[in-house]
Amino acid sequence: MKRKILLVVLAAAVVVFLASCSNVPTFSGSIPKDPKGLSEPTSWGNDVQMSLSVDKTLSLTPLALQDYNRIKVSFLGYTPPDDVNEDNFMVFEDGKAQGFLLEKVSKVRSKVDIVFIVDVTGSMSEEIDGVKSSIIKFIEGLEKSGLDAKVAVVPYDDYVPTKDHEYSPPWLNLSNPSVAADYTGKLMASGGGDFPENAYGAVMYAWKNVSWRSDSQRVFILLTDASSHYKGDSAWKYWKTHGGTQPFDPPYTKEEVISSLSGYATLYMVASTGWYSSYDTDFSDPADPREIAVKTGGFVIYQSGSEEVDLSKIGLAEAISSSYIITFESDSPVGTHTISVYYDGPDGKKGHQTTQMSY
Amino acid sequence: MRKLLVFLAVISITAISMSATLGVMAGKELGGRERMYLGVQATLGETLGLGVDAYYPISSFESAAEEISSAQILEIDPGLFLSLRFSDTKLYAFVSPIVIMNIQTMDYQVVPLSTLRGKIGVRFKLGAFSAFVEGITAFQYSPFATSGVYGVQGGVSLGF
Repeated sequence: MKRKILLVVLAAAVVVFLASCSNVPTFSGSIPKDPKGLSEPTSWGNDVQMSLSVDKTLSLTPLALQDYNRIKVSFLGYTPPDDVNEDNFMVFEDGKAQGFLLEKVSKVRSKVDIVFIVDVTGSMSEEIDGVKSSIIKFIEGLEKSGLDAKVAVVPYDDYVPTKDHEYSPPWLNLSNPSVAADYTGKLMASGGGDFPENAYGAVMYAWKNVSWRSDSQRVFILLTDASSHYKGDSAWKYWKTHGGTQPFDPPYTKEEVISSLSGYATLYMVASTGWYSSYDTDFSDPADPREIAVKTGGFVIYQSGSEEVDLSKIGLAEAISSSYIITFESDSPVGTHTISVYYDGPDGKKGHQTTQMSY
Repeated sequence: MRKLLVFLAVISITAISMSATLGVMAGKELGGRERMYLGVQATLGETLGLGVDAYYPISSFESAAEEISSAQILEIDPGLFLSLRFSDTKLYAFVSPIVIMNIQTMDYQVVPLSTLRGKIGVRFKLGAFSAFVEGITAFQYSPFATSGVYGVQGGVSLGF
């Protein structure tokens, strides 16, 4: 009898535990069947700008369920009306119309965790006051927006966290915005050694060490004027020839950073002009972090000298309120597929986006 | 995270006072993505009890060791089983919610409870060890329907 009571108590504990997970993103097992006779439009309106990215938050299809894919659709500078539903979208995989479910991101993932990755080396001494002021204003805006936001700050140079300065703590884990603003106010820029800094290492350090909340959107904001060291570059040689006392061997390539973040987090970059130019279009250099922003659904803002950057341009609140998750089943073989999403809003606005995705 | 630790602590303490099994298994989906997978399972209780299965899909058994060493995301199914014993043979059915967990970050997500994991199996006692064969699927109970994808798996377990 005691054992049966114990079992009932344990079963109740399981139910309570699972019920407490009710606000996490979930998969609905009732995806509509693929529509028949629907072909991809040959022309379509382009009133609104959209971006697509794979959403890997739930990246393992449970066993014995049909395969499914999740795509995050974000509108840039446009907030769709509240009554948007599946009828306002068409989804095609390799030209074949898909049945799908539509979820508003803000309904399944209302929290946002933001990590500022800040280059605090000497070359940033002109920009640092503008950077600090920009971050603090952005954080104050976050508090007013009503978003459930937590903020972390990782100062870096060739080392992560920086070894040229002693901050307490050396980096700030996710904290209330006001705490992050106070921490940011103490940042200083000096030192640094060679020109590139360890941006990839800093992003990966944060990715692995920040106490991310399980149901949050994850955002990186990288602020730097320098290129990044990468695995295999000449960093070690530099330190040897310049009498460096602490061995430095960059541990990551750009591809490894993109692979880690893509589908899980978005990186925005504030690039101080000099090495970076707003006229650049080719970000493929192995030391250029801007490609990470492009490939994770973020973008680049350029900063000149000591000017303050308006980080509200990132539009986090707007991005959260105007992003959707599209879930569809796929019977295609593993490989790279062409995904097209067409939007025809209740307000008459139209937009479409096509991208290549591997799954 | 704290809830999970409390839950695991309760399970561990209970395991000391109740009959328990711990097993390893391998299986294959028949349909869907037709993945091969490895898993572990633990049960507590005799006729009616608690069980937890953990699964990790692999691309091949040859590369299993390498893939398992880098595994981050598992399917974990904590549920209830009901069994009938016939001498050294046991027939059982198992029902559970489906949880996807990142074991590095401890992030987890629960497939809506309208979709459950269902499993039936037969277990043969071989001394302190048992061998088992199971069939699994996912189903919805209202209205009742299976996913149409099934898996078959087998393994061995050790009784305590």
